[in-house]
Amino acid sequence: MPPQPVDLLQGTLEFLVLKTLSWGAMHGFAIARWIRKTTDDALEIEEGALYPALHRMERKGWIESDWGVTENNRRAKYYQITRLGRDQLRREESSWTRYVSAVSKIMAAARAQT
Amino acid sequence: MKPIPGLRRLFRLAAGRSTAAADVAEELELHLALATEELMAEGMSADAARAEALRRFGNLSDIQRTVTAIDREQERAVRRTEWLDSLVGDFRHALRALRRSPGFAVGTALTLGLGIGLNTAIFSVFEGVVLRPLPFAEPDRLVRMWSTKLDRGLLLFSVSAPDFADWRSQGRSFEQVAAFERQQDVTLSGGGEPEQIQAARVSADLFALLGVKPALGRLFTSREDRPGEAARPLVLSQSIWRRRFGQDPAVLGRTLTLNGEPWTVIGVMPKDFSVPGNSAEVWMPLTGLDAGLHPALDAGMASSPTQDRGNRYLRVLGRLKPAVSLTAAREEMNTIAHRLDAQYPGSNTGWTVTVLGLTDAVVGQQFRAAVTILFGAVGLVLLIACANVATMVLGRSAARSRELAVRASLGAGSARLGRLLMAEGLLLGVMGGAIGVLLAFGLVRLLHALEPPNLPRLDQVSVNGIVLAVAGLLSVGTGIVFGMVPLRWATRIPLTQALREGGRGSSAGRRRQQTQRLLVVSEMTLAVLLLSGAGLLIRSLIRLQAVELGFEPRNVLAVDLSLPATGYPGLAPTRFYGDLLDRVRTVPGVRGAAAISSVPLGGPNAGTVFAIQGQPVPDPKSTPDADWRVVTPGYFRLMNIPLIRGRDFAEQDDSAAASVVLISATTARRFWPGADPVGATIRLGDVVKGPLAQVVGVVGDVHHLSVEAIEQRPMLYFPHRASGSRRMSLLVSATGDFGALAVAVRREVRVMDPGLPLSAVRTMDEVVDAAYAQRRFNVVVLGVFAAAALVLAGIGLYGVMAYSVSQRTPELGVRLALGAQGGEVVRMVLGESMRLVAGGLALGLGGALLLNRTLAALLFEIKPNDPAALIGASVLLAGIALLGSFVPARRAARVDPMTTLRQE
Repeated sequence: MPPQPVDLLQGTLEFLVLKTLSWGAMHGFAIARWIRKTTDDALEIEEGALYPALHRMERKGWIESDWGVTENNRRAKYYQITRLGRDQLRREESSWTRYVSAVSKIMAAARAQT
Repeated sequence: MKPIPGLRRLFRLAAGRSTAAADVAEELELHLALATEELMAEGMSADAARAEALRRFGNLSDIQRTVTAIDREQERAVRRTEWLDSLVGDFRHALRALRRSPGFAVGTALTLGLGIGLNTAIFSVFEGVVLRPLPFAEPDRLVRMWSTKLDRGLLLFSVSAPDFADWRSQGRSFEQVAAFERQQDVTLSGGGEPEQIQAARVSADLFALLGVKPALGRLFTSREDRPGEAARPLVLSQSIWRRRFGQDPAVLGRTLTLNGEPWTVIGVMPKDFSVPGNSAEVWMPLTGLDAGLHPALDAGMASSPTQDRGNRYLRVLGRLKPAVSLTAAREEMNTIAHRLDAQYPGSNTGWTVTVLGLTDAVVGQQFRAAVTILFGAVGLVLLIACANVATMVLGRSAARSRELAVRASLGAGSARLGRLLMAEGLLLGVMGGAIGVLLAFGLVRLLHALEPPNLPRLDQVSVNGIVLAVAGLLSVGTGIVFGMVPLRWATRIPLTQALREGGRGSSAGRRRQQTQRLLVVSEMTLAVLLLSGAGLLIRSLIRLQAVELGFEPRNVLAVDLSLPATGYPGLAPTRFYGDLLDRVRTVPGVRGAAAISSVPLGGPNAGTVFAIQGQPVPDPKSTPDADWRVVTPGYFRLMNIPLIRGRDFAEQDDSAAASVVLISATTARRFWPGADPVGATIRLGDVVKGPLAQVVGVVGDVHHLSVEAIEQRPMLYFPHRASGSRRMSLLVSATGDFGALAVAVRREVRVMDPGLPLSAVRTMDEVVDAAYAQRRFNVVVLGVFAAAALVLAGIGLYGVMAYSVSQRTPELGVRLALGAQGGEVVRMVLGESMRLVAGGLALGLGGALLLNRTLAALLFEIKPNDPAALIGASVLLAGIALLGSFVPARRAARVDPMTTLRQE
């Protein structure tokens, strides 16, 4: 059975972008591709939705952007994470971990009963 | 490639126009292109790949719009903070620049502060007195009305009761017409010390007309002012309620004793309420008190005051109907007056009606004139201060032109330089404004402490929000102006020239000096205007103080007394005052004692018409009228008023003897020209049926109503022993301490009647002094302005001459090196400054001749082109100018030739 795409909440998308950018500066398409690859297409986002999120995050000061040039000599807008963005990422990681461990405990308990 | 963070944003802002839409389009297009390429690499055709990329992307145009909006918002926010940052930076820079030249900063701020402070103070007076609406409902529709008889010079005269009744019933312009009487001294007794307070009778609808609700209780009902009404209702002011009754609400319904009669408190008025032009603290219906102000004539009068059209004693207020103009009301009232004129010859012949807006009536034309002139004068001071600051700023801009040129050559655009200089100007303006506001607070406090007389609504004067707003506007306005002065010069000078010469000796430098000179000349012109104006007022005051008053105020104490009608019926006051005077004469140090019904220059007036017996009953138009007073024997001797003919009153002139009257010299001259009035008989009040009195003597003229009146009104004196006037002022002539004397007099009064309060106790010198006080106040204020102008003009000239000398140092050095004497150099510099002074004087005197005419209303026996005032102003200014240019001249003479030559 093919995996169903997870319905992505706004906050989750931002978390994923921050996580992605924590490896280095990237342009929008690269971010989208990276998210798709690392999640094995499990999170099938509508790619366009990425851009409002990126620009909103830039307003919040979590990431900043500048125009640069791709390997193929194309003008592209590169995003990179800021100090503020890293702080945010750390906060979300820890709450995400807590959430996941809480859910997996419940799952384990449920499995034990069956 | 790793981009440099933030670099792009910086350039984008520098470009100043939004590129958000293009950037977003480019970014999204790149995404689609890369996605398409990826799909093609997987084997799709170009078209299919593009379609698939678009599908995966979602709604392109929606996303594009959303993202563009986010970016635009971002841009705006960034721009705001950057603008604020650079503004703060500019001010910080300006502060540093000013700190580098503290003399300039302090001088400028103080000068501006002086100008702004004086202006703010005067504006606060103007705002509180003239601009602020009166505290009544729709004050614009309120008017004050007077009877006027132009040929007698009676401009704003009270109104008779029958006239008032006719005005009220016939006037269609008004919603309401109400009346009140002059306040009277009454004795409030029972429950504590007896106290003299002021009461006024008002028609029942007066409060309703003003649109004021009581703070407590109720107001008069329309029945309560009808004749024969038995109830005696009383309304209290907030002040007496607080002072005497501790704001106790239980005061309602209480019975108070006024002049021995019971009155029931029915209401308390709100805080700050007063009947305009009336200082009463309690009010009663207009029928409640007996007419105690006409004691001499009451006895023999055929008719009661309420029926006598010749007895004008009411003050009348009206509320115009909403759409009716003041002009229309005036026309209607004078139509009514004409009708009454035809109907009642004698009492109403020649009488018209004057209608004024209530605000105008309260503020008064004299005061409005004074304030307008002071306003103009203080505006001149501000102009001088501004001119002064402008010369300072110009001088400084010369010193800075090199600095500005360096900045410009380093790439600062003229807009950037302008912002820097503007920030400096604003900073100076704000500093000046702060000093000015402090000064204004001080001045207004001083004003309240001085309590200038006749300044209406003084309690309303304060440095409030409106005043502060005006002060703020003044400081920002002047700041911007002075920021722009150096900017003009900075941007005009060619860069290379400024770098080379620092402005010195350049044509720009000469132009700058020319401008400075122009400014100083105009400063002096304005200073001459103010000085000559102040001079005219001072000369007027001196003239006024030289006026022969007709009596000798020195060493005389005046004590006002008012006997209640209940305890002192009929002629009882005669005995009381006779005994009291006898007792006072025995006090050690007392040389004499007498009494008059109203002291000269310090009490209310009373007047009557009369006819001369044996002459034909006069044409109603020329019925003689005169003021009158009641005096005790010895009054004229005590006040040093000469007896010109006949005899003085004696103790025998009482009610049992034949009625006698003394007349003033003016009365004799006007009504018995070339004849001896002694022995003549006059008929008082009603020219046909009035009581008769025989003229027994003529006394000197006395300034009774004002010092300024050049032509005296005729005066009649009646003997107190024949009239029984209850309200009298005791006059005690004595040597020594008046404080002790006042105590002694008070003791004697207590002995005779412990329930009797003394109201005003003052010396006649103080009474006379108060008569000059308004003029003295004008002189002081205008004098302060003129002094400020003089000092500012002096400083301005000093600044310009000092700058000129510093500019000419090389030239002077050469001259001195070539053998010129120090004295010659001093003369040269002084000559230069005197040319400026001469220019200022010539323009100033010309302006004074033109403008001083506006002062005419405030002058007394002095022509607006009074040479003494003009010459005095010129000499004073020239003196200060000489002083101001002497220091730079000395400095010029001490220039060391060697140093300056080396510098060149």
